[in-house]
Amino acid sequence: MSSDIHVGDPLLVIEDLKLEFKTEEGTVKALDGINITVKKGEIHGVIGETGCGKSVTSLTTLGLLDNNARIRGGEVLYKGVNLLKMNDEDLRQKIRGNEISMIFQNPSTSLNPVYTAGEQIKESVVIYQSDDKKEAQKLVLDELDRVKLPDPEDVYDKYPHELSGGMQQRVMIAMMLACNSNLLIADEPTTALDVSIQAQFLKILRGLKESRDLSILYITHDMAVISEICDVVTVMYGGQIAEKADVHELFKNPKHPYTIGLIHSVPGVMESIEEFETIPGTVPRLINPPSGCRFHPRCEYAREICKEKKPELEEIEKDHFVACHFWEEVE
Amino acid sequence: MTKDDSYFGEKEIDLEKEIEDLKKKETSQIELVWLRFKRNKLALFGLGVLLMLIIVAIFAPILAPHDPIKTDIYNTRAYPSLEHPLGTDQLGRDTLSRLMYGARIALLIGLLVVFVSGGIGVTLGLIAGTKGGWIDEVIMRTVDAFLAFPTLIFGLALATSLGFGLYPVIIAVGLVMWTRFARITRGEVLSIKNEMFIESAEAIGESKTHIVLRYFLPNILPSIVVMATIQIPWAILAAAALNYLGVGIQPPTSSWGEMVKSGSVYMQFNPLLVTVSGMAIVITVLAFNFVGDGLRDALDPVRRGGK
Amino acid sequence: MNLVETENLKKFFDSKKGTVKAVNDVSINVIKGETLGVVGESGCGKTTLGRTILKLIKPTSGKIYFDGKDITNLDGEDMRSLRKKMNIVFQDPVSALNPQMTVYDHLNRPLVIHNMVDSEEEKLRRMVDILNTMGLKAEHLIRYPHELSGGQKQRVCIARALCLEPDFLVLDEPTSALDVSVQSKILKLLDRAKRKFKVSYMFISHNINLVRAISDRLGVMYLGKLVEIGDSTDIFNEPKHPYTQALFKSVPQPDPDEKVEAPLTGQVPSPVNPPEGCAFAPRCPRSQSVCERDNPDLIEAYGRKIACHRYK
Repeated sequence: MSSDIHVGDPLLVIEDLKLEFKTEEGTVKALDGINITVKKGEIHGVIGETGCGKSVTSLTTLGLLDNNARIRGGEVLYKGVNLLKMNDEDLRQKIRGNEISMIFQNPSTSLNPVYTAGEQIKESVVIYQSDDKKEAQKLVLDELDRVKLPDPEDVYDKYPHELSGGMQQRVMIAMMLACNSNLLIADEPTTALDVSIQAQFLKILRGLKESRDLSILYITHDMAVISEICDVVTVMYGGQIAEKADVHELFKNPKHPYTIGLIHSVPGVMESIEEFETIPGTVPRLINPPSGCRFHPRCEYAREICKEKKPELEEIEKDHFVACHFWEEVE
Repeated sequence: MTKDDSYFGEKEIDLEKEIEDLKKKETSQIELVWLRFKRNKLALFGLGVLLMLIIVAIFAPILAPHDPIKTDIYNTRAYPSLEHPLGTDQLGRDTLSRLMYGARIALLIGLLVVFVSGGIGVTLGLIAGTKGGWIDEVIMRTVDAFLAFPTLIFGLALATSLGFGLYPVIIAVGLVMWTRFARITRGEVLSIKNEMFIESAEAIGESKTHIVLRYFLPNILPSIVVMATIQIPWAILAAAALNYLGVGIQPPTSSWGEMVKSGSVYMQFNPLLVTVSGMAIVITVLAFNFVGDGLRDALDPVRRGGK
Repeated sequence: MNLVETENLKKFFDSKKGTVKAVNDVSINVIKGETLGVVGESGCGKTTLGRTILKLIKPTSGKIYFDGKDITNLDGEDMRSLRKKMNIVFQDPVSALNPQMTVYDHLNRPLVIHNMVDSEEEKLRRMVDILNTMGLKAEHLIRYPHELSGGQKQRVCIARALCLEPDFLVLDEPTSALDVSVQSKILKLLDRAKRKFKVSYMFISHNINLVRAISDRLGVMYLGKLVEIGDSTDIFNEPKHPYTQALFKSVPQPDPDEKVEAPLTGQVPSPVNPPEGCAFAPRCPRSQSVCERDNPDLIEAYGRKIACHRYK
């Protein structure tokens, strides 16, 4: 695996990923042609509502899917290597926690409750950096300090349950740093945190991006957090990509009707209830997804063609992609 | 933009039509349970066996080929024949007929015990769980005290002191069994107690009694029903054990436990008697367990937090 | 005119570690017809406050007034009949509905308990009416909670709370378990219901942008105490209490050009044995020696009430 990847080069490329789940009620067509490229040193946000497939996408990347999942096509290239073709053993040894780390909404489930925070990080340090015990311990304290944990010595000796959610999340980040990971996949990491803790956490992530050229695939349902931390945003709807653009462009000049509806539902953009817009209908069930563009039953611009043909992701301006037949009419 | 918003009372409601539509679509809870239960083939088989058993028990006088207590000393420990399909016992009584009448006793004990001890146990468990505090302490310590007794010896002592017959057995087994119902009920109550719908019931002004009856009870009922189907065979076994030890129902009334006992004495002459009566117990116990398993799955769908 | 008012309300819980002072001396009021937003981070006692006001949990001390009447010690039948006028909508609609009851049962109970209807027909008409208002249909009456989506469940909860035409509703994070597009629908429904029935809301949330959009007045809580309360627009435009200021700065705005600061360092202290003096003093950038010693009272300043020694 070559390591001569520079800032701005594609690090993770998900190409035309199609995925289904077999369930008792039928086949859930969870992903229908997903394309996401995360570049080195970039924070790439993925936003969408429940069931849009954002979490499934990240789990696919690390081969962490349940047994009932079937990949129906596409590739996940990390530094040019297709992760979907790798066996589980290789993924575990070469990719997970090493090249790519992942943090979830609930960090307590990812930490081993019977080891102290420090020991868990030390394990990673010993594997990836230094097997000298003294030096490893010092490196761990450095990492803990880097994620702005007050009093690293104290945290080192604490068990996960003795730490608050925000601190646990930072321990996870420190562990990732200890592994020298190049890519962090963060799935709703701040949803369970208080705003003041969230603010601290986002600041740390931004700092790491600057200082280490860390790439992050940031998955969330929170528009405000997306605008806060991401460089590029992919909007997902019903297992398809609706729109993809630079964060400034997306907020100023959204082109997909769903993106617009989403932004106009966000408190903070809208100042009072009267201004809130609602998207009619509900999120589709993907056992029997709508044909063509999956958003068409809820879209005010929809016409016949939307039911028949899935719109291609089209580059309407530099680095601004929209999957909509009538994006030119949308305002 | 939204077409599904309407103001209070602004839209004329065609009530008759709405209700008609509702009736067409309604699938009752029981139908749903049955649909799910049907999927489990083993449970379905168990149910079939149980139904047969019940029919046999009810119509034993008609179905049985012989009088179960009529002895025939010229034809003892006989092997199967056309006249006696399962042979006869040491006194020449028809084994098949005795088995059929035995089913009556077995089911009667099973159902009565579970009904009575279940009633007592669930009530006390509900009180302990919802009231808490010292009431909870008193009830649960009583349960502990009852559990500390060795069941069989307890039953033996009780059955001996209360005399022979059916009811001492029922009381003896029931006295031990109510504790299990009390425990499981209390546990379920505690797990539901913190659910918001209890608080929300209080917030609309439900009275305490109503909350127990309409909110707690229906939610713990599935566990209780499953518990009951597991406890019925246990009661049958315990009663059989007491019979085997010589207390409880006395000959000539036929009970499976007594049949196993007398059958085992004559095992070397004719193993059939002990085998069929033993099999009757085993099959009944298994059938109840299968049905219990099926019911658990059918009654406990992914309700909370399900997809 | 106050609809709801508390006076030095306290709610303490006993825990293994000591006494948790969840609500510690809070005097707050809800004016008729308004939406009072209550914000604060986890452990600030906002949820406990809402429940204590509705007497779903017994206050440790202090007084609660509803419509001018002292209801602190009301219980039994009297309290139950008062429940017609006040209600609550919880955060998690999954747990707020009885899994063994249909939507019909859920709406039926309150109507029956409070004798709201004379005939079965009137009852059905009412149910269908309120379901329609909530964007649901009559066919939902026969559904069980597990057959509904999260948004639909929450609508049923709101319909249930509103069908008694209450005067006061505590909304405890009613939308935080829902997607944003569903959230905006629920908010619109709540807003409509408010105007239709003249309900007053106490809207409890940690989502500050959301509270900003819907509340008339705003109360900010920290560690069991009310630190600032007043007109919502005023406070958002010019927060005065150092905690309010820091809190607002931590809130990410859906605008890529605005980045949050992280002015609050450290953790929220535990409500078990909270600091003496001002609870915020250990994290306050502007704390003085007096702050660690004395607990500031809620005083009038800048047309609002603030609990901070700087504004004495």
